[in-house]
Amino acid sequence: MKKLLHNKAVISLAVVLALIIVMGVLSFAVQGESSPVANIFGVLATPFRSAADGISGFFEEMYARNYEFEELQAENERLRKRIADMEADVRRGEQLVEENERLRELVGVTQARNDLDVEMANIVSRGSSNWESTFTISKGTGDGVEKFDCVISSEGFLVGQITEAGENWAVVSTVIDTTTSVGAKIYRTGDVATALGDFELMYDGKLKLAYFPESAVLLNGDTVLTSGVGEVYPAGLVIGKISDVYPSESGAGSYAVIEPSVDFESLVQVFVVTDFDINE
Amino acid sequence: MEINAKLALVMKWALYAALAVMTAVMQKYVFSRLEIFGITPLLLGGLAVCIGMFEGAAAGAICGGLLGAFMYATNTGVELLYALVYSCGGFASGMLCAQLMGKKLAVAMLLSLAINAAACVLFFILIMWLPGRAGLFAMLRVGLPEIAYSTAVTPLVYLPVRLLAKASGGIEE
Repeated sequence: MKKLLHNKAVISLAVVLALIIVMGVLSFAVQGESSPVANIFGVLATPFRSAADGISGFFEEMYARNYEFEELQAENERLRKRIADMEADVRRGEQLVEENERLRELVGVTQARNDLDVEMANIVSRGSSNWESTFTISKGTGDGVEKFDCVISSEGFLVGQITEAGENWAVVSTVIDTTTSVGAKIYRTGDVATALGDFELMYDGKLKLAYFPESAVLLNGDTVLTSGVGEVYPAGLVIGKISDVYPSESGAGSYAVIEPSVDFESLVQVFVVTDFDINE
Repeated sequence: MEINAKLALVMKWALYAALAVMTAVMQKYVFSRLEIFGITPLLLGGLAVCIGMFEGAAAGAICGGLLGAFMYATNTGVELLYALVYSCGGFASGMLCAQLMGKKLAVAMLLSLAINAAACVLFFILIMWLPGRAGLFAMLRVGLPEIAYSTAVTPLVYLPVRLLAKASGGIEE
């Protein structure tokens, strides 16, 4: 018995059993709370648990990546397509808003000018000649557009005149082109004159106002309208504003420079006046 | 062998047609953005000259006419007059190169200068000056820069035509 008590293994076993019993007693005594021992173990094990969680997370993620990659890729593709569709919708919407605004402006013009029958057309190409200022529109004789029809912007400003018309296209010579010769009226004074295309001024985007009465006093900023003389252009369309006046001593050679109200560079849509009432 | 030769011929002219379309597109959409003093160059006259130089007077005349008509059909503000001038220019280039001149780039530029000047002067006189649409100022403001710019860009059409002609055995090294 004495021998047995001196055996280290037996002593160790006894100690362990004693500890187990103590732990059991303590656990029983503090039911519902973590025992101090469990707590100590828990605190000591925390870094190891975190590391284990990290490692297992890493492998789970790898697993997910491997097995869900294709699915994610497909979803990404779907989302990209959806974004592209939505962007296209936004662009279409913006175009429609712009078109709507132009049409609203035109409604205002046509309500104010119910003597005009108009046909809407898009500009499909700009003239490439160095000698002329022209563009091609998307409407032609099939839509009632004819040669010499007058062309206006959505604001009702004079753009030019049809100089060539095909079945579904027409060429518009702008007011600054050298072919232009329009009966004009100075809004402030009521004096009549002629607006003429001039090659030198065409490159500055302007045209000439000539053949006005010697008594006429023109000022920079005066608005020039179509007079309706000649019955090619309806009366009262805005051509532009006078930007310079060049008087001559005799008066016969006096002329003014008109800056058109319409911005040719930003024009995308125009309205062809297919018919209008002639005001006697 | 006969069929192969015909196929090669068809292929060659199909490539010339593609070159013509590309040149027209370049003229209308690329060079219209590369304006110098508000002027854009004309490339098709130079192309008619180069085809006449490398493919002979008959081909030059036909292609010149077609190129002028094509330009007339695809551009506003370009009169059919160009078809006439380009046809004559293509023919003259073929004759001159076969009889008197070589087929160097300098010759192409010289002939291009002549054809562009002829087209420009005729256009100015018949379309602008006689109807009273513009005076001599227009010739200085637009005509001369157009001729100069159009001549300067001739290498852009000379080199592909030379390459095509060389590939089809039209010129020797």
